[in-house]
Amino acid sequence: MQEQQSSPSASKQIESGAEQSTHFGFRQVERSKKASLVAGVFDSVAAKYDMMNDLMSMGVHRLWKRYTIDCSGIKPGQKVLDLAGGTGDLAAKFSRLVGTTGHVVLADINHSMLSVGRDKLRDKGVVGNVDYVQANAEALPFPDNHFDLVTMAFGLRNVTDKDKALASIFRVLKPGGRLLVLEFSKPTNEVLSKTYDWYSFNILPTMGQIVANDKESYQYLAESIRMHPDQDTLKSMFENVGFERCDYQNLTGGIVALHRGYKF
Amino acid sequence: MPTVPLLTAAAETLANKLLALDPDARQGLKRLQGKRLVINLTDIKQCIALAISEQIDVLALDALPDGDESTCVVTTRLAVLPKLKEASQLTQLIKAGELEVSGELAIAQQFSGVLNSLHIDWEEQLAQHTGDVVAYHAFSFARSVGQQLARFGNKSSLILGSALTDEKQLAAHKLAVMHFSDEVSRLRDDAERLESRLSRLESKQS
Repeated sequence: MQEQQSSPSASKQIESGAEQSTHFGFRQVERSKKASLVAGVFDSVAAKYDMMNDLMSMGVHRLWKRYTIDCSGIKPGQKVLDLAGGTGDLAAKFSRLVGTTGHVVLADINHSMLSVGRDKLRDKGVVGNVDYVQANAEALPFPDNHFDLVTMAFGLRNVTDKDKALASIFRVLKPGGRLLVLEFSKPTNEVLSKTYDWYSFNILPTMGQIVANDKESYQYLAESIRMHPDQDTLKSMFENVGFERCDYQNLTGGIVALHRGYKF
Repeated sequence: MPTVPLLTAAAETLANKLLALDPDARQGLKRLQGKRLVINLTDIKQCIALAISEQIDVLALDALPDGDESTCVVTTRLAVLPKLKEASQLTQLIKAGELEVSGELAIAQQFSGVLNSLHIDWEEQLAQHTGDVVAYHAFSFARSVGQQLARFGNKSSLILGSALTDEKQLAAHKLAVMHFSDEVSRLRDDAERLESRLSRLESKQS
């Protein structure tokens, strides 16, 4: 495995040119190995995922997720796919909002995360209209035109082929349905950006070491955020697979962005 | 930090904590399961939805939904909101143009009923943590302090009133103000009478 630092554009060239390698954090790895490496990270962090999210974001991730739900326009009776749904923060709320006539699918490629999410939701009494599916975002095992809403919170940057995943989501959305992608992005302010970089590369891995006894996974988190496409690039990726009326909203100075696109 | 989600999260937590303390109100809310009350506040341009299931979810919507059999959309101003607690006032507010409702009005009425029936026995809540005796004494003490404060407030206002009106004569006594008002009214009546008499005489002259 070659170890190097590269920019998102450079890594894109490598992806499109050689079709062999992709980034895993700042490292270049064989495309076929990225999924298992990401799986390793999430297997390792699953048990303490919620606690670490609260610690790392000082609870603000809950507000970002609330904002995502506010923008979902979800109604009783609708079908929702919470992709890379992890420990089910969004799915729990969607379950109440769609009611007994609606349906929520919590999907994640990682079995450990899905298990934690399923146990958490069941402990909370969220049952009846939620199904749990282990699925790869690049090849979703659902019929065409099936969901009214697809959400993906902090998952897209871990997907090997993002364009393929967006196309797969586009396929399973009903006409009129919307996709919401909540993901780390690029801070719009230079001072914030520098502070955020320092926090990500110094505090986060140390926090991961102390709390979860896993420095590498949180080092990967910081690196994978830097390798993720910026706001405008992701918006154009939405448009390239067919989404319309695409826009994004920067949250907390662009540390996180909520991208939205519709299938008509 | 996203401010609106922070406010809706606080409102949601508070509403659900309060409802959890009153089993009757929670029972009342069950009748509204699956319904939504959307409050469109025109003065602050904010649309808030209360989605009711086994709990209340508060959403800040980015678009105003249409009212239907499971959704009631209430369009009003922030200042009118406290009046919505009284279900009997809804019709009056609509007539006065203070309130526009689309969709199922019964949802707003039933929700208002749940709010009115909310009764939390705080002494019992405290007793669950401290035991009955401590809770009883704590509330008796709080009641007695409250009564003493009210008495002190009344007495202070009487003393201050007396000092201002009788001793320092900085303000007029209530009776003097009433007498003055009566005199002003009488003077106004006399002036109006004189004015009409003058105009009658002027018309006779011409």
